[in-house]
Amino acid sequence: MPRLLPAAVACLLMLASARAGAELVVIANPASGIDRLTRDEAINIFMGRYKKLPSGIAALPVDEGVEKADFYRALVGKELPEIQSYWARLVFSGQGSPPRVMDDARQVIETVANNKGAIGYVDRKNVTSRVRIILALPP
Amino acid sequence: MCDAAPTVTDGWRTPRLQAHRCLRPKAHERGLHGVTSIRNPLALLLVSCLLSCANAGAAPSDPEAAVSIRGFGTLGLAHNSTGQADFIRDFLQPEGVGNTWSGDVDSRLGLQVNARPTHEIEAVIQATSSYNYAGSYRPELTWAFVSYSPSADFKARIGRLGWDVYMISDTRNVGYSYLWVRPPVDYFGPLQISHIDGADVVVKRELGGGLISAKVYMGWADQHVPTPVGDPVDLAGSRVSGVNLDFRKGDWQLRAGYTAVRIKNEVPGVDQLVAALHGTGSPGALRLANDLAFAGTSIRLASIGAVYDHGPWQSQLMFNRNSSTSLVWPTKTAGYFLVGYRAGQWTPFLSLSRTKSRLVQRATGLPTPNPLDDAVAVTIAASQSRQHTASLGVRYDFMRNFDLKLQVDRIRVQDHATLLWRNAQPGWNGRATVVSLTLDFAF
Repeated sequence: MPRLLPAAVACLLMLASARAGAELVVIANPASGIDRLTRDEAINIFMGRYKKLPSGIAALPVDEGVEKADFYRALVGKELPEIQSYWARLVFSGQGSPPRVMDDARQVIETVANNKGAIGYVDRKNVTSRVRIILALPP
Repeated sequence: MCDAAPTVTDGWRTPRLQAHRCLRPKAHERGLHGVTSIRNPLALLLVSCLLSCANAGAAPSDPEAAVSIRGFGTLGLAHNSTGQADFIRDFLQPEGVGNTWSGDVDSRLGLQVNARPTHEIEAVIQATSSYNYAGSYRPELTWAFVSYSPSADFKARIGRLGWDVYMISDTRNVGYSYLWVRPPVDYFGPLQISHIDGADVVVKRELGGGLISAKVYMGWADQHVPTPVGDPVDLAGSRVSGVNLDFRKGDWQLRAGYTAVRIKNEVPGVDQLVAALHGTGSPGALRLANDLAFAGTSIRLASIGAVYDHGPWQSQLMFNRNSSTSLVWPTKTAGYFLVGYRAGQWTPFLSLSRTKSRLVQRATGLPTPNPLDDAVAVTIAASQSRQHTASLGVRYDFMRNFDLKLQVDRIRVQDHATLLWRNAQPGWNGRATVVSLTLDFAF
């Protein structure tokens, strides 16, 4: 049993370092009027509670299929089934719809670059000059 | 969802709104996040119709879908240990489950279409099928409204709306949205109304690093409630109005609500008893007749609750008081506590709940024994509920959009106060164990 412990720790460290490769950042349109977002504001927007940017314009959050699980783990410490269960409550009580799911980072950037209020998240390495980073979520 | 298969879509993914994508899917290339083919020609026709209507303003990079079709459902089996009283999920079920297995208690299916012609306006229609007051699964229109929200601070809805009387009361059909097999019967069981025809307005503000919202609503009920004997109560035309306050900050959510339901129609059976009491001409009987009459009185529902939701933990604590001035609906208080902890795909939970009604004994003052006093005593006794429940269960999120749940309820009814049961036998000791197994889905 004691011999298993170092192995388990090594495993965890490897997992952690694998995860550390991808830093997710929340991005907005350069014309959105904001250059940063707090974590609480991001939670309110992505969880459908208060879809407004600090600059006053309506927030239009989008999800990304590949990074979605990591994003919500980093943002609210919840797994995808919990996020879906949460949205089932809001959707079927007519309180709103979850963010639309984009196929990949390219599509997220395209959407954010073309819509003033849109915000999304991508791996930092995919960020282009067409969007602005407003919040970093270290893994 | 472009077709009816929920399993391959990406969670709450909204439909691809370009018809050509649906007609020529590249599911093998797009993997889990793609759209599968449509095999049923009728479904294909329907979907392409919907999509062509929705096509405007729905480019792939549009942040909001113009139309989405969603659904939820539960396949459930419940078993009651006693054959001396039949267990029901809520007041709307005409018959319950005795000492056997039943699929009627929890099984249900709902479909919903959202249409969003502009960012500010949304239309929602939802139909739900579940075991209803008439003992059938005839689908019912549960939501049908248009909402207008010019900003995140304000939203108004008009049409048919779910009854938002307590926290989660307007989604109590959606098993996928909570931990239990069903919301605690002690707390939600006496709710007679699932939806109202009317309007509501929600105003939100940021406050002290949190979010405060206030909702006011008004409308009319449109519902039949079964009674243990005779015809169902017709709640049509009963006016429902209420206000909710909600504060959310970090992992906490607090809520308080107050609602009044002005009862329009008399309970069948009670009207005859009231008439018979009037017929005696005795002052005591007349007073009793007035205090029994349900029509014209108001049910008042006050509630407070707190939710704490942090990482794998979630817990809820709620209290309510459900009262009227009629002896037919004595004042009831109820509360529940829920705590659950997620470990991977499994979320075990514990739920404790209790309800208590206030017993008021009344007599006509006529020489006893007489049949009127007997009838009054029976009516008052039948409206009592005093019971508590301890539930242990587990939710297993075994695949995307699906969960399986197992729950065991130990229920103890006191003083034979069996409002929340059907066919309770006089000799029943008030103890029951209900074992439930459900499969929930939402797409």
